Amino acid sequence: MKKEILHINIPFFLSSVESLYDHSLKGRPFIIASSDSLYSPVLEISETAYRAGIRRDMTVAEAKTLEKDTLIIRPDNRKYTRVLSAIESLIGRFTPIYEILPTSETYMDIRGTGRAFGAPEDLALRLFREIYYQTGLRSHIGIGSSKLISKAAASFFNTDALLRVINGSEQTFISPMSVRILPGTDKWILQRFSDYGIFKVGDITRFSTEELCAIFGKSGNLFKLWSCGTDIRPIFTKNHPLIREETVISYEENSYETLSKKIFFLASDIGFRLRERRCAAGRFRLVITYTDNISAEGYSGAKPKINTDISIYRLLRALFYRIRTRRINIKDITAEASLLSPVFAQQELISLPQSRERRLFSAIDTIRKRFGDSAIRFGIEDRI
Amino acid sequence: MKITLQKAEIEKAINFTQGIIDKRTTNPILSNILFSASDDKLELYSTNMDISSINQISANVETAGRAVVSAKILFDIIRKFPPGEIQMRRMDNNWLELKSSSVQYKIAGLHPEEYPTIEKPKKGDYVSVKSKTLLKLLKKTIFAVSIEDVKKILGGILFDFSEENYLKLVATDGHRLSLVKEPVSMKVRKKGENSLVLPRKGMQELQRILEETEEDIKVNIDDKMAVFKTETKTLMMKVLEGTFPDYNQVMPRDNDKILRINRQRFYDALSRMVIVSAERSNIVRISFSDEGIVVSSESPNEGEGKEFVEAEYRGTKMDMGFNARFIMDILEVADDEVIEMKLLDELSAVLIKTAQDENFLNVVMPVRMP
Repeated sequence: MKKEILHINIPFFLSSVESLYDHSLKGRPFIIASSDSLYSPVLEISETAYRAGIRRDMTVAEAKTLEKDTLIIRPDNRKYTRVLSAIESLIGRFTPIYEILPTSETYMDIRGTGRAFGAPEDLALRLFREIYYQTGLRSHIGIGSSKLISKAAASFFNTDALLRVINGSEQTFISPMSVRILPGTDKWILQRFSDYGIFKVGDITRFSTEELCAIFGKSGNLFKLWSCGTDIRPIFTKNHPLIREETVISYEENSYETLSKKIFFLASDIGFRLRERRCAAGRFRLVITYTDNISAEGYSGAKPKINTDISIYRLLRALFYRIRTRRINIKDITAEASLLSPVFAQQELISLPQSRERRLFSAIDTIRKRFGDSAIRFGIEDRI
Repeated sequence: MKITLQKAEIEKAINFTQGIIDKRTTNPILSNILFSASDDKLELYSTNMDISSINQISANVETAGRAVVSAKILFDIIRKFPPGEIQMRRMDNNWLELKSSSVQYKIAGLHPEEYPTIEKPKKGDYVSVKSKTLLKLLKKTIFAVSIEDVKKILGGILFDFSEENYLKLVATDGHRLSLVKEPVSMKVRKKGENSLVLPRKGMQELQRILEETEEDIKVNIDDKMAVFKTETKTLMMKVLEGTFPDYNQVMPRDNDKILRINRQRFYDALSRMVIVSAERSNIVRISFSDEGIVVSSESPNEGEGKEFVEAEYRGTKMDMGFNARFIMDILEVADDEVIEMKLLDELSAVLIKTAQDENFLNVVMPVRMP
């Protein structure tokens, strides 16, 4: 059975959610930034701000220069999580295999759902309507044989529209599109593409895999595959043996203390997800992205496998100082936990000291489940 | 010091003596053995400050004296010596010369005065205990002693003398508990003391002594120190400080579901299933039903397995998770061919004993399966 991936994209997701909660924002240029500071990076923009030329990753100062009436809104994760949960419960009714990103981008594997929900186009229209009725948000939907093609299809039109790319026509469809559509194309990659006269996806096919690997390293293989319309990336479902958490860092937060705090929060969130799934992770990956869009990554193993905030924090912090080799501000940190395996809770006959730690985490997790991830946090000190 | 002795005898003695020496000691002198030669006998002393041993072997002593050398180096050298006589001589610079007809070694040593003083036990009230009885008691409890540094007191075996003419040994690591009692007349030599805890390492050494001897062992225990003596070997150990958990409180009393199963069949099934347990965690699932039990395990990366074992079960159907190692340890030392498990529910303590013997009781906590 051929793969059929449906991609839902809600344009300007964070700002659209803010507009839902505050109707006075509708039609006004505003940006979402973690602080009012002029050096703070813009996390998300409203459609009106986009039309004014403001883009993500600009600083607040640059946004203000382009449109002086731009409002600055602080991000409120609780609102976004609430909307994402509503979307998730909706799409979960149609397929068990789906991946939903914090940016609201959603990939659904709709293979074999034809008998229950009709043709993919009918399912897409139904989803479009139901998302709008339930959340008030408009979405762009694309259908294709892979994540890349379905995403490219969803972004083809700038209006509410649906596009399905028929199997076999992927390369023809993607060839004239800008290389910006390809995953992981940061400023550095785009510059390299430009250096070699690659502007459209189709331009990549002029190069052999070896040549692409010589230019881009391991990513060359992927670029070659993508240029042929092939994308082998799987859909990471909730049960996928990988947990990923990401945090955005503003200019002011690049101090030693704040970075440590951010890493601890990442560790804390990963620990919570691991314990929620009653498992422990044996491998951790940390990716840091500098403000010039260059990334660095590192891996570290944990033996025995771990799932407590403090043990994960120690490992991630060591990893962070290992991979941070440049004296440039960081704008993003992503942490991933993999090699997950179930944790068997050995019951105790006698209360042991380590079980106090387990009980503490159990209590913290209960509070987090009820009042949100940030409801309770450890006070961190460097000696942890 | 100048002596001549048999290779086989000194090899055996060093092997026993070095068992006490910590591999990672912070005090380098403790990784050495003290030799003391006099009156046609050689005494080997070793200590880790908590446990000390004295081992006596016969030797032809030409010149009495003492020497201190590294236990590991000496053992490695002695092992490689050809069979026969070995001559040992302490040199002026404290080095030790080892010589046979064709082999000669000179190994670095320390001044004997630097070695900590190991006081020989005073001649006091020793009680004679049958080696086999004590060995049986140790074997049935030592596996349950905690090997983690979580609670120091759990790193030992409780000797409980509270029951008249009975010696009760109890060990627990917090997840399981083993209790065994035998008619032994023994007391702590201090009024008001009915029990004490002796360290695991000391018990392992005692087990080695008991396995080698047929004769009765002399025991003298007070509230600070325990001494175990045979004709040639003396083992002294400090009593662990702290309060051992009240084991009577954790003994399950309301377990109403009873399983009777063949010990060997049960052991074989468990040992087969642990091969594919997740992450080699030894976790197995046991499903109890009227026909018997099904032991199963699965590992996401390695596979899965299950085995049916016929058994007599009285109770409702139930699935429980166990660390198979905990049960296997009990089955390995149980004397009877029929094992009895008393259960309550999926997460409560399980009592495991042999069908006949009420003097060997084990409590095992289950594992909550995800």
